[in-house]
Amino acid sequence: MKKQEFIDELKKRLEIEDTEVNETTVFSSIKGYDSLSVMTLIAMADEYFNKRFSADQIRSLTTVQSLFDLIGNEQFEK
Amino acid sequence: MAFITFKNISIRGIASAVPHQKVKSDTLPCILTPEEKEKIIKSTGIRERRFAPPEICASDLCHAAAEKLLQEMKIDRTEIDLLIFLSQTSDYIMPSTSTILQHKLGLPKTTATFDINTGCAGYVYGLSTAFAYASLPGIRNVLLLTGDTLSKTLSPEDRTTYLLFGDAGSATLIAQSDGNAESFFSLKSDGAGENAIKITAGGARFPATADTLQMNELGDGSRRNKHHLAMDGVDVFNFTVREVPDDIRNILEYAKKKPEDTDYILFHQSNKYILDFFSRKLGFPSSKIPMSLEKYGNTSAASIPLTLVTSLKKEIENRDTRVLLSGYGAGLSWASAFMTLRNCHICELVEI
Repeated sequence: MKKQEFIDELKKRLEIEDTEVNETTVFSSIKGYDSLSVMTLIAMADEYFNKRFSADQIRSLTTVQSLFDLIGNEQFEK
Repeated sequence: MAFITFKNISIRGIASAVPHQKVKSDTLPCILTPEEKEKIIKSTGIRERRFAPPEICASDLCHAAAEKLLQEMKIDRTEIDLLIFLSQTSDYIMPSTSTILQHKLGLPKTTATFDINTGCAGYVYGLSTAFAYASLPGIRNVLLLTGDTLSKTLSPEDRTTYLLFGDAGSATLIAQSDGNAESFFSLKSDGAGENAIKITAGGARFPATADTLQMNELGDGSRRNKHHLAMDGVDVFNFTVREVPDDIRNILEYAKKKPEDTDYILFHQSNKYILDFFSRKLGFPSSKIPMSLEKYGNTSAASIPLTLVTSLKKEIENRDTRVLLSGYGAGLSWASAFMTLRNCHICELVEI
């Protein structure tokens, strides 16, 4: 999966297709971003990459790139 | 110890009871805006729940379920050797509610009783305990009662919890039987998650004071006091994703079964979002994942028997039914089991 594909799928699941989202986007700045949104991130990381996190790792998320770092940038197609 | 096998122990019958008062999520007054409410209803799938009135406790719901079960199955009460009451909303700090129920149900003094304090993993934990006792010579029948009135622990101003939990009780009769298939259990714990789902005050650590009854403002605009149920939704979800799918794969491997060998998975009914996730992740079609959460919400350790009663009565009574059970929640604790239900009586739902 490419990073852009991940972002597109995320936008679809969060129902924010009209919002501009890229690696530098701070999650908490996204309109309507709430605990359900965080759960969506957790579900996607597990479904697509089998990646699971500790509670602290989830709390440390800031930007979209921070999620990519947690998943591992090498996991994504170029 | 991670895995246990039982031979020749079976569930003879199950009954469930709920309060008659219905509470609809979309019309329930709360601090959420209509849009926020709709978003939660859509993702959790919880449209309605049952709330017990002040005079009804979990023990009353379990009592009603037990009476229904024992009467319908014409059980000789002198042959019930153990009564277990499993709840986190017991009648009193002391004495144990199981002993009170021994008396109310007219069981003999030869019935052993004890309470188990466990949350949403409780039905599977409770079953494993009942099965263990039932496998001992001299134990004829074990009556496992699981139930909670979590509605009484909710702050109406809590954005996370107020639309989730409902009340229910259940009664399950367990005994030895011949020629039965084996059953398999896995029980796990992680106390690092102590604060994920918690009622802080009212126990020995923080006794009730004027201060513990004060409503406190939280970051997201919610308010609750220290006697209200507090849940970190993200932490709980994260734990569930991290542990439950592996737990299910492990129990199937231990039991030497494949997903195709399972007729139904009975998950603890926390919310539809996570059950759909499990469906995708484990490759179980949703037709194999019955739900009771739409009409009853998250009913804690009664959710699995409630789902069995409201969704699978016909199937279970007409043929051998291979079920996988999965509970997960406060503790943190999680547990799974695989068993075949055979000659298992299911009562119609009781409403009191």
